[in-house]
Amino acid sequence: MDILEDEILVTKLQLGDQDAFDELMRRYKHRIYAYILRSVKNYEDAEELTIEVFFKVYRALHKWKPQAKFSTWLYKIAYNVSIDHHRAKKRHIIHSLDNNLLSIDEPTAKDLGSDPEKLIVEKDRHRVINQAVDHLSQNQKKVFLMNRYDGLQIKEIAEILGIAEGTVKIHLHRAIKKLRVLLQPFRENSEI
Amino acid sequence: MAKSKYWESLYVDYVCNTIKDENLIADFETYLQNHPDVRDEIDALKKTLTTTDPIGKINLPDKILDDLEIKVYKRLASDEPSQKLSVFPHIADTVSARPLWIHGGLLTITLLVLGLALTPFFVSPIRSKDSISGASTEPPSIFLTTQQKRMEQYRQQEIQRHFEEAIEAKHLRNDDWSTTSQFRLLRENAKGTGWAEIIDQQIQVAQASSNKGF
Repeated sequence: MDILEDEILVTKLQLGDQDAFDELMRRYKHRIYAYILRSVKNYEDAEELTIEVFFKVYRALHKWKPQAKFSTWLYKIAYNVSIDHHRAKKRHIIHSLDNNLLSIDEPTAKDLGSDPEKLIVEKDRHRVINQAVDHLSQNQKKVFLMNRYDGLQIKEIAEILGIAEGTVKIHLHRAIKKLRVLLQPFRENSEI
Repeated sequence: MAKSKYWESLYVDYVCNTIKDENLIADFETYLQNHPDVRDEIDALKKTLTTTDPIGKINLPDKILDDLEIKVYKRLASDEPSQKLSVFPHIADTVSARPLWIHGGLLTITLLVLGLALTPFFVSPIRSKDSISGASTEPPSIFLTTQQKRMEQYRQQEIQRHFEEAIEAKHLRNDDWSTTSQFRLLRENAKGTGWAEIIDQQIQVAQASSNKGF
């Protein structure tokens, strides 16, 4: 099953092979979950939204056309689901939820062989870089995260966001340039 | 000017290593050799990515998303009544576009085929309880939708997992009373499946062992 391309799996599912959908879920659930988690920064919401993404994928599979890459289409649904989530949250919550946000990217003691000193240094490094990423404009941040952390190609990002490839490149270029400037003082102090 | 814009459009591709054409890479590197200011900028961008890229990895808890599939199927099943044919609406469209007499004919044929397909299920039992793997059987109803069938399959897998955990815990704690109570709870969840009988056997074993202890 592993060697089959996503697109073949979708066709199999369209012909009634339910195992193909299971395989697609297995292939993408962690990536989609991580993508959404970065956006919503809450484990429970991320799980709920991941379920919603696969639900929508199943329901809309008849709309999928072979000319679009399945993974791009899947991310587009995930992107729309997280946008809807943010809109709904904005409507219902007036005060900031920053205090409840999880620090999702920080390393754990397990990762660093339980070396407390190393752990503190690494956590600081993560915090500084995350703060710098948060200082990017919305578009720069979206494009940067999709490209660098979700591994999506410029063409795919353009399709997901519905913008030109050139625009994606401009956002990405500006994002990296801005990060360079923001991180420069920390680099000079050897903090990162 | 237009030429420099062209090279500028390649900065990101070069920094992100996405240029496939080796000739283009070579041309770009020649351009960099002739433009040290651009080369410095490219180096700085690459260095920035070397700093930021490693923090992108998200450490997910081990057990997370283990049961995502069943949750998706549950979600699909809960949505089922209103969306019977919506997965492949072209089928629904084709059916609804036909005149009434064709509908009648189609219905008759469908009922006949369905009747023939159902016969073996009403005549012979479909469950086998010989082994643990054989215990996982589908409920007799074939009216279940695809999603419901898949949910049932996952439910039984979950029962199997809990059963194996209970057996493991039984050996670890050596406490018959707790074991019996865990199996009883499991039996409740396993009602209607081949697992119920297997769990019953385990309860009897645990109870017998408990009585011996007294």
